[in-house]
Amino acid sequence: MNESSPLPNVDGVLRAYFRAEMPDPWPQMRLPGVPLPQLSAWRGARLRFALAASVGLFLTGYLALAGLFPRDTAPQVIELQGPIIGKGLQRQKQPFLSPSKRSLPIED
Amino acid sequence: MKSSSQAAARQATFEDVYQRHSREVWALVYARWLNADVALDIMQETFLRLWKQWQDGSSILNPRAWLLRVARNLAEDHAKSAFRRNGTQAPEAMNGVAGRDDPPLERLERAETFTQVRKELEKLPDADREILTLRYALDYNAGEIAEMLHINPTAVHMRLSRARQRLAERLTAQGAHVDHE
Repeated sequence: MNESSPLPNVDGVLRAYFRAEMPDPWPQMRLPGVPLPQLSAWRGARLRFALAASVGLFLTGYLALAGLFPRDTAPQVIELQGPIIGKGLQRQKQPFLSPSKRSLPIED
Repeated sequence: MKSSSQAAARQATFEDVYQRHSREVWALVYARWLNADVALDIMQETFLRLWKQWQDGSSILNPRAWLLRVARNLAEDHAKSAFRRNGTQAPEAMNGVAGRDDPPLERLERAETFTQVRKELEKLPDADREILTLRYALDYNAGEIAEMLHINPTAVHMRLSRARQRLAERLTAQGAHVDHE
């Protein structure tokens, strides 16, 4: 086809435009009632094996890391270095009383 | 057993027809709407109807002609329903070309050029748009276009030349970047 033009690049523009608009990849037709293609037995077995191997690898890795970096289960006792503020004061458990009914401590 | 082999043969035939004619159907609808998604939807609906016709036992002597006719009708129905919904134009028909990637500068320029191309294509008659779409989207030559649209190859040459000339002038006037290959 003769496509001489005062602007030869218009062909390139149009071709690029229409190709950009076309779906890529071209879609497959999905028909109702037609089953999807079944995987072959060998391919299905390979997929199942890959899944089982992935799970196994995950568990092995988890256990190996847990063995390398054990977690202390017993709570650590915190050694207190300084004096405890308010030490010696024992709060007595009293039933709640309104301020007017509370007995004031008698000081000698 | 026999019916399953018949169904498999029918499906294989359908796949063959789909591979051979789906792009033509898409191009025809795209030329009407300048919207790739709408064209894809209508193309799939057209083939679905063909499949149902075959399932019902109808014999279609020329599937290609049947598909193109149904696709044209569906495209026109879409025009009517879009008019009812939106007024004069479907909103998607006014959009720019949808980018498939996040654009750096060249992509932006390219998208801008494509938007101008789309605007100019919208101004062309439907018949000219069909010819341009078949020529540049599917790389059809004048003979193939003429055979598909039932027109004279000379008319294809003339319309193609006229449409390209018009596009070139307008794109140049707008300062579009026309160096894409």
